[in-house]
Amino acid sequence: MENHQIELTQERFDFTSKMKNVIFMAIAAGILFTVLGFVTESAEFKMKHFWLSMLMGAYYTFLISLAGSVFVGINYLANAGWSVAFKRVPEAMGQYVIIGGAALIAIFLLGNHDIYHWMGEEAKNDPVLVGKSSFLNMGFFVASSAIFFGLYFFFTRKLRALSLKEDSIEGQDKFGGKIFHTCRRYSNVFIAIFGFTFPVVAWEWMMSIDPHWYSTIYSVYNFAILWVCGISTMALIVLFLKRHGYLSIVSKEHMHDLGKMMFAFSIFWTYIWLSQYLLIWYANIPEESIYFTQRGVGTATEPNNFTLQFWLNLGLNFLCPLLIFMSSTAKRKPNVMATLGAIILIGHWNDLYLMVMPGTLGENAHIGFFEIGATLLFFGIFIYVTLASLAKQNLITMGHPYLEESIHHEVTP
Amino acid sequence: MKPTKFIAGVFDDPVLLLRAAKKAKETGIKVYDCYTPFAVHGLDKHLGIKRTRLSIAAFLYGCTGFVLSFILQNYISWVDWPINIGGKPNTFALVTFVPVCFESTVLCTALLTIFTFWAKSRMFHGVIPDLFDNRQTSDLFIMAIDADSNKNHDAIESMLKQEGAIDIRKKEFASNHSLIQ
Repeated sequence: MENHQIELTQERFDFTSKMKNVIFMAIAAGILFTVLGFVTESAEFKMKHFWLSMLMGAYYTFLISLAGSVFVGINYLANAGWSVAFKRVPEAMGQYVIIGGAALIAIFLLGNHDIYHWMGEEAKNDPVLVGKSSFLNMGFFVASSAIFFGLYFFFTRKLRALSLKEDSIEGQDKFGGKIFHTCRRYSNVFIAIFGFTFPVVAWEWMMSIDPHWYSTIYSVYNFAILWVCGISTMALIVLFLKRHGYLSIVSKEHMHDLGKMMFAFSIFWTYIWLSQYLLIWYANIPEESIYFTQRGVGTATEPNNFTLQFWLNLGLNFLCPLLIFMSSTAKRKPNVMATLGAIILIGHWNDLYLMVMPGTLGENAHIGFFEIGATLLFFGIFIYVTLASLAKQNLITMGHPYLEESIHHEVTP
Repeated sequence: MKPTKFIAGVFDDPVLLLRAAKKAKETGIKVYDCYTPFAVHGLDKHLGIKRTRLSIAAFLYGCTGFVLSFILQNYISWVDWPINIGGKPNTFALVTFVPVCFESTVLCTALLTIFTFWAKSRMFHGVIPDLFDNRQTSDLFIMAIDADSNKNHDAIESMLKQEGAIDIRKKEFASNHSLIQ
């Protein structure tokens, strides 16, 4: 291998007003669609539909953003060097965590009963919900969420601040790796906290939509969505930056590895999905199988209005990644990767839709202005925050001890 | 016509072999193949070896395994004797076919791919396993150059010597030799 020092220059992302305008237009379109939803929806389910759509949008972007922080943490934890070349991208994605978290808590405080059946008066006469009331109550819900989201944001900020400090070090301490080890210690704590608290987030925000039902693998399922969507978004942002001439040190090898992660964790998601489905199918216990009865199975003879989306879920999230990304040449083609990233994001949007809507709106659910509006709105804000924090400093982590290793990263000889 | 006569450069260092392969490419000497005790990274690039198509075969074998087991289960539990378990709808039992389909896919892919690999690399009964040197499976690195199509033998030998070959051998094999593909 040739030993040469690549000339590293300061690289700044220019968040042009053209990009900003596109994002503002998306946010405006989101608001417009939401208003249109208020005009066109039938009055009976209007508020319910609105809050559920907002929950979907906020939760989806929250997951993707959290995946950025977790990616940084896990790479420190695993002592991994390959991802350093684009480390600023997951870092920037994580900056949205607090906004997404605040939006979620605001949505809960304002629309709680429209989303969560257990918040209502009728829950007091329901023995199952009374039994769960020590966990499913407003105080615990808001307090735990606020603490968890605050912790996630604290570690995101801390890791980023340390990384920026590392860049500014000059002279003898530059390659001492002192800050790197501090980052590793923070990551150890962060990933442990994330591992234990994220299941609670998934139970509270998603599983309690169907408060009578429970599944022990549900939080892993949520983690699978978080991770595969986070990696896909990361790949899309890196592709976007490369297309605009930034991040020239990110080579096809890095993209290949990101592609492998997209592929592998799509399969992981399917594995978890199947585990949940098979156990419920074989056990055949009414209180468990109701979940899938609502989501596509319908009655014994007739499909219901989620059947198409039920199968679409597997098609978009499993078959597409499997068939498109199986060969290693496909993983190295930017256009194929961008297409698959979009497919995965749409697929998991559909996945979330199936988690949120059937248990609440049921027969009255339909994809309308509200869903599209909320998705555009939250994705617009998420992309804006990410790109804005990318533009704030150098795109390359100049002081990271593994930068050189990452630049020479090679997966195929 | 497959080559039977070779000039073999024997190296005792993979780095030297890599350099020699690069040199051979630059000077226009066609290298037939290299024999090394372990995978030397970058060698395939210098030798101009194309990517194997074994993975395509493996994909097709996997599809075969999947389809066969799917048909089997479909026949058993839908067509021949529709199984009704607790009144659950049959369409959604498709998902319960997955474990068997998966195992069968893996089995067909693994076995058929390894058989194809053996057949393709002539690792089957009746082939005479002749080697350039017994130590090519232990600590020697062989660069085999086809002596028939490369005419300028002196240039080849001097190139090999210059690149640090510890020995240069001329070898002729019978036509059913394991090297001949």
